[in-house]
Amino acid sequence: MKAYPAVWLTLCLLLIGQATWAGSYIDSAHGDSPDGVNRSATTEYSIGNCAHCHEMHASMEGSEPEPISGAPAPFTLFATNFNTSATSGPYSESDNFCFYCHNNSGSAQQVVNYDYSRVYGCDTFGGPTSIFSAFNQTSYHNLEDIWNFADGNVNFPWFKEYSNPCNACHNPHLAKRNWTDPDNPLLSSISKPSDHFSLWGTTDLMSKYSSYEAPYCSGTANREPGRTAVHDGSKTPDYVGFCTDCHKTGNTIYSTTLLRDLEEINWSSGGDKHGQQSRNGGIDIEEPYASATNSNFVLSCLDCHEPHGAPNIMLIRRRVNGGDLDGTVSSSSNTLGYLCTRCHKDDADAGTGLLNEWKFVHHNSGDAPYPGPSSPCGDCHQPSDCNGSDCNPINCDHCHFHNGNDDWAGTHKSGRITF
Amino acid sequence: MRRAATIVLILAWVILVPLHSIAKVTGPCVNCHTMHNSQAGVSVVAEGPVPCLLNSDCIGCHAGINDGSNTTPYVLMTDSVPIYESTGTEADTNTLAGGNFYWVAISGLDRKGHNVAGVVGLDSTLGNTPPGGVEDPSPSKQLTCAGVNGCHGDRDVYSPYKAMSGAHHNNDMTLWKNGTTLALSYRFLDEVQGLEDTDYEYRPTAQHHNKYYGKDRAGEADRAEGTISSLCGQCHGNFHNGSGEIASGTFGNGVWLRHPTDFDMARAKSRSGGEYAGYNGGTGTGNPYSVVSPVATSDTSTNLNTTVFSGTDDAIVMCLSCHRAHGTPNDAILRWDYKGWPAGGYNGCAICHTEKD
Repeated sequence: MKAYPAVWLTLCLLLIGQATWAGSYIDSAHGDSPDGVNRSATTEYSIGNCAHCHEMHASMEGSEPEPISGAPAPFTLFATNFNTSATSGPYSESDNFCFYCHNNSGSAQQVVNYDYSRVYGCDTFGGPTSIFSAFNQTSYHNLEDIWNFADGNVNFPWFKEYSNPCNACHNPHLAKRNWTDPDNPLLSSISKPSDHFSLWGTTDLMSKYSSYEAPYCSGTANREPGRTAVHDGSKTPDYVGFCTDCHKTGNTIYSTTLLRDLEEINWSSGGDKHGQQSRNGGIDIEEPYASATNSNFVLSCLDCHEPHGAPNIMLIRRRVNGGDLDGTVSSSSNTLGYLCTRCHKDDADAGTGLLNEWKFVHHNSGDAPYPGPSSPCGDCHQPSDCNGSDCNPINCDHCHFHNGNDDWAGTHKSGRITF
Repeated sequence: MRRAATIVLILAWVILVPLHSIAKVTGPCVNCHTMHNSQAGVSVVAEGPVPCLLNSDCIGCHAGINDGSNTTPYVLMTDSVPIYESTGTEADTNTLAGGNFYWVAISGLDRKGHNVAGVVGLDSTLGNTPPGGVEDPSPSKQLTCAGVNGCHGDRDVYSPYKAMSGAHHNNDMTLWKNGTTLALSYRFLDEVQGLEDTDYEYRPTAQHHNKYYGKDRAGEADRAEGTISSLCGQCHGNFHNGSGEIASGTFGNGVWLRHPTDFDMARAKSRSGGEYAGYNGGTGTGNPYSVVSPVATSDTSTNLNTTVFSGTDDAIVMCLSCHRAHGTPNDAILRWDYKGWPAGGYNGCAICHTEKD
């Protein structure tokens, strides 16, 4: 009888050992035996088998299975990895190897993936239903721009001429199926481009920033990313550290979509106030931030942005801080305010006016940068937008953008950092 | 003194000569030959005389059950299923380095062996066209054991029997087979080099196995003559060599279009997160040799390669790293059940692709 504890201990050690020995690929989303890769033309291979993506000799029984035949492709894939001629969207399936499956009408496999707003932002319906459709929205993470930036980059030596731009952020042999358990960061799907052979975000979490406050998820009942009560970022990968592997000061990244270089993100204490820069003055904030014990909040990039594509410009999420945006953000008028008002008080929130009007914040709150309002109104507003006592809002992005300030306001500028 | 020296020389002769003759055909001629294809008025070979006065065809001699003591390698079992286990290397297996034709010949499963004439009929899918084939052999004729359409023997001679002329009688498995003659070719694969395990890899271990010759190529068009993979490439050409067929960019420094062979894995040790340095559970220096997924070497000495990453070009990927030549229970004559993995099967790929497990 005394042998039983020893037997159990031995069994436990063996089982734990087995778990430890389990390698990385079969733990990944693609290598998962019941739910991994499973090309419709190669179902004789076990689900998760390499053959669903790779053809070792560009031949199986003397021919190439669907969907693509012809010359062998780099990395022994069944099709070309990325079409570098696809300089902008909309993309077609053959432009990117991943789209043969991450596409709800994919010709190799059909994989449903929802956007960040739905999986981690608690939306229950709507939005794209695949990565392919996510990229084919108003704004998207331009794949060729990623490829251009990564190819030859000394910090990403693993990235080759024939690499797939998706791999800049994902290692397909490591990435896990995180949507199945959104608040479990151990199920990371991302790898920093400078550390491609490791998963990012399993232990590097937003909680490292002491003043991170997770936004609401399902209404005001719970928090992102997994509709739990946890709000300190310990369930959210450090997306700041992840995104700034590329989008950081000193990295010039040209945007084919915007026809200019992207703003270089400085999320440090010397950069944006949405980052670690100390706030200077009131910010007329809403919940859950207004009542949070933290202050000087540091945001996660994905609190506002989708990683793949969005129906709004600048990859802006369609749902933020527990609610849908009230309108589509475009490059015209002040529609960016639909994003801002998810966390900051517009005139409707302040009880002084309408949705997406911002007179209170800018002119009437206790710490308004342009109290009064300043006069003459026409210095900032179009005279035709004013009726003598009130003016229509001006575009937010005159002053509010990464690295922004209010120099645009000319003699009325406050000197504050405005992002 | 002279008498003593003579005795020593005689003793040396007695000791060394038998060693020098390991695997050379021995015994009465009648074991293999018949002068008139007739014995007591009955035909020895019912179908008619066999060339070279042989009393059987190739498979007639090479069919049987391996038990570790047989000097004739048996490549076909007919009466019972060979014991292969997961990799054909386990301690209770009875197949050899080339596997066994049982599954293609007796089970009738085309994908599990080479469809050699006299062993099994045509491949119902491929016919006579080898996958990846771009040149030899003639697609109008079925694969044979030897000769122009075969693997063994002189590949310029049509008759499989004439193609093997002189091989069995001059074999010496203690030598490094340098490919200069058929008898001096690895397993009578003309011009192929290598060191032959004396029991043909019956239950092999890292200390007891064939030593395959490979070449770390500089370009994909290099045929790498003399390597075991180059022989495979004579039929499955695109799988081994050819411009635009194997690599994109510089061979070995770009990306692969097809799985490389005749490429030294040491050149990739630092890539893919360093996963290849972990070959067979090692650390990148002196890794244990794997008989599950073996590698070739450029070393032409008779010293057995029991470790990998111990010398120059000693981790060369070859066709036989993944496949066997005759047959296995697995499709594509793979050494392990790749298709069944990861739900089941066996992931021999992970011997090299250590992070893909």
